[in-house]
Amino acid sequence: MILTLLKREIRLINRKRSELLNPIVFFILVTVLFPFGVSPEPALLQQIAPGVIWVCALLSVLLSLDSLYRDDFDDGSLVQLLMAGVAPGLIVLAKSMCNWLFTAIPLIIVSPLIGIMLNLSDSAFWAMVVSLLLGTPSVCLIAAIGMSLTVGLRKGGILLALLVLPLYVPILIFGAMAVNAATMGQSYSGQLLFLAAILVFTVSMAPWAAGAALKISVSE
Amino acid sequence: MKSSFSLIGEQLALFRGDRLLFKQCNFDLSNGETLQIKGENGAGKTSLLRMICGFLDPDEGKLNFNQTSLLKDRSEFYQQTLYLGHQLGIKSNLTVAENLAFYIEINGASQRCDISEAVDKVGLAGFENQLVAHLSQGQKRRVTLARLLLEEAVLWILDEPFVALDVKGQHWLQNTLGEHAKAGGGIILTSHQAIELEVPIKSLTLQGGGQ
Repeated sequence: MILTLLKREIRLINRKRSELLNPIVFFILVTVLFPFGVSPEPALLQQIAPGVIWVCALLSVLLSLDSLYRDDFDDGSLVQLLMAGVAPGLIVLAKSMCNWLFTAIPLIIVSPLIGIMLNLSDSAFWAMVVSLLLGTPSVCLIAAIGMSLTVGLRKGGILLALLVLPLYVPILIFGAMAVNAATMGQSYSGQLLFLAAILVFTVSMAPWAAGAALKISVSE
Repeated sequence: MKSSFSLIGEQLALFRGDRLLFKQCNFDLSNGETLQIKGENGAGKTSLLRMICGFLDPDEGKLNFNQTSLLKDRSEFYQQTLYLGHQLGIKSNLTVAENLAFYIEINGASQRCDISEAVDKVGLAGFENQLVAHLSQGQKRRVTLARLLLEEAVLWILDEPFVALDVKGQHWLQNTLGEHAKAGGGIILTSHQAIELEVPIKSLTLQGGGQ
């Protein structure tokens, strides 16, 4: 059943590829602006690079969510899926997987380039890529909870950010800490393990929470 | 032969905010029966359908499907029903055939006829591989009606199914509804127009603040 859902999501995403570009363009633009706004000093850039990359990645993922959920809500597809007996958690899981594949993966692919631009030290590249790989699925899943709660509201954008950003704080701290530690040549496996633990927790809990929220949203 | 079912609503009441939509609403439906829900705009027809479908909880009363309460377990109900509401539930970025194929697949039930045959019957021959975005309102409605022909469901729950259909389409839909009822299926629908089927139609009138 989840394969059917995934196939549909991928087909829908494929039909409006221009929307895929939004988060990645946002990510690149914002990170590019930092050296102009803060300072082009390589030493300073190296220091702020982990935080900048992580914060921008979080916000880019938030930017990509709206159409993924709202279209299905507005055209009644969500009601039809629930009436077909599909577990709401499964709908969320399929959407989050697509969200990760088509938003987070492109970000991770361009992140080494951004790293070079922000003078991230060579030793931190792997830490950055792996921490993003481990952290972004949790980001997508937590965002799904917020999106499921606010999809029925006409202007849920700010509310979504308010609900979800506090939950991102641990991911942001451990993600940026892993990259920082690698920059200074220290071991960063502890931070990565924390990210992995958060991932296990969100994968097992978030779809269910978001599914329940989705059901409430459909019932207004 | 369709599998047998029974749907019974007893003493149902529903509030929206602090406004009473209806109370003491009773109905029962089984194989071969058609129930038309009537009432003025805002009387709660759509809300009653949404309540039967599980998207609103009644404030009072019981709702049983095959002797089990719908408020507790809906898995069997969902397998045997098809709900078509105001929102069509078809994606405008997919083609007609893709939309229909998705619903057949996700329902997991046996398919009653070919997609192309169903598309033909609802009068959309040649539009199979068109994006739904390029269709008119009435044609989109016909896409959803094709699901009636494709999916195996005993109970059809239809919210204003005649909206946006032309005279020919309305005629076709009445025939289809009649055939379904004669074959032992059940139908619940809301409609403002008089419907003529070859089988008797029960009616339920919702009035503001009570039945």
